Amino acid sequence: MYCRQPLRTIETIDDLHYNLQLAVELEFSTLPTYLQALYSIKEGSNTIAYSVIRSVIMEEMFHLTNAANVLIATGGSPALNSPEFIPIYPTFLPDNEKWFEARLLKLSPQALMLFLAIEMPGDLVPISMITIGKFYENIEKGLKYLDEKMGADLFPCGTLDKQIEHKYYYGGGGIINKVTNLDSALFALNAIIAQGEGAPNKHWDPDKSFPLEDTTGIESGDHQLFMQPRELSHFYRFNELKKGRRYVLGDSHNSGPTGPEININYDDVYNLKPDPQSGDYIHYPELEEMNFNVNVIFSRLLDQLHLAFNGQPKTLETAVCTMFSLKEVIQILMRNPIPDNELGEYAAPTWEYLSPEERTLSSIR
Amino acid sequence: MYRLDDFYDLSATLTDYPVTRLIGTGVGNEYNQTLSQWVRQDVLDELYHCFSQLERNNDGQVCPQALRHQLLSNEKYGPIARNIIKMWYLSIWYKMTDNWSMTYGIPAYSSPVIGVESPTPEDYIISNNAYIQGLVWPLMGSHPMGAKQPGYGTWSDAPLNSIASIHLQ
Repeated sequence: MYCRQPLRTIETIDDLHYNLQLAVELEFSTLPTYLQALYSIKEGSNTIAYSVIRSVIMEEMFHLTNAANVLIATGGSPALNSPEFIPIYPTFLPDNEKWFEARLLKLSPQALMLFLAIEMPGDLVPISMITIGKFYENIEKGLKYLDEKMGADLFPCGTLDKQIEHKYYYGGGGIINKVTNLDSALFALNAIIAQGEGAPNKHWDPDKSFPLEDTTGIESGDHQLFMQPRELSHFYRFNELKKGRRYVLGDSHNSGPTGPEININYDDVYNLKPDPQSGDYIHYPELEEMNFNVNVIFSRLLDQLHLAFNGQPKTLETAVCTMFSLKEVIQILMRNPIPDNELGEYAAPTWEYLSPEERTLSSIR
Repeated sequence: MYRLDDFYDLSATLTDYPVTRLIGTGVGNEYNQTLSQWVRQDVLDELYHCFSQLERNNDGQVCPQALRHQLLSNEKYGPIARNIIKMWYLSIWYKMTDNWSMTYGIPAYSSPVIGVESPTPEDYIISNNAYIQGLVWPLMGSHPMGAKQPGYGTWSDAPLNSIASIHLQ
């Protein structure tokens, strides 16, 4: 991670770029945590948990794209292809939330607690505690300040072709709009806050019913962001899993979910080693090589994403193909028990960026 | 699960993939179960014993000639070994010949009774998931249709290098 500092007022364009780069890192750093749990689910089991976590992951990638588009629109360049871009887990999130650590865990009650912390609405924690929503609100404040101070210079010409278009996005809620001015920049950031915490304004009433219809239909990803009455925010989607029930019409934050039961069978999950490090496989060359292969493909993905956000948006298509390959090699790794492990744990990826030189097999031998 | 470790060891030699890669398909248990469903336990015991006695090279790998002569060419073991290879690559259990089944198969599944339709099915795909996990797909640089999608536009990409490792005569 780049140097972490407490939230501070954004007064210059450099401050803004620094915070938007942090935002890109923040969004990305949630992905290994969510993906580890998602892929730990055995084939064909826990389908509701699978689709809920997957839907959140799709939208985290949407958030990353929105943050990157605002960064590009204000003349910055997102940086994704370096070892520093990826934290070593367990880790504090890059927005300096110090009250929990993101980890790499199989799907478990403990993992769901962590997911709730990541998506925690700002209104549910003391004012001094940073949440992702508060982090973005600070950026929004900075954007407004700089827009007033710099006027049209805040959004220089020539960035439109570098931004990511909506056509690359599917499988989640929200629309990717290109950022051209303050309004479109705020729209992009508001989408992140609304989807994650689901409480984007200060006049929030915990007893007020959610805008739900008869069914909660959390899988729907096709509604436009602010016209999607059936989609819950990430926090409440995860809360459904934790409580083992759906939210239905009339439910509020304080009532909790009172709808149909959601069954999660934690036995139908690969017992992954928590927070794995590459050193864990040093005595098992075959696992070491498989984890290495995962990291090679993961590194290639980061290179491609870096290009996609730095003037070659079409590379995103290639990157999506690499995401599918990554899923495949991760699942192959995760089905392997670690030999001689007393806890019966399974191998899991370590999510490391390798430089091109490190990507030759000889580097691990 | 009957002698699963032995099944993986034999499979690794027969498919030329490491055991970890085979375990990584997630369907090894199903294949082993299928094998036990069609082949008598004492025959499997003999097969694993035969495999354990094969001459090995200095690197610990089974000597290919010994594998060919003593296992693949053996009238009893050969059909099993070939079916194991086909399971891993094609996810299909191929019906054994009636002769072989009567001698070494499991009677309940394989004995044709005169006047009664044989319960032995034809060749079949072992399971939905097994089909997706077939090793033939990655080997070809392809993917199972309708599953494990490789991503938009990949049809215009050249096949992966792995296809170059197949030498068609």
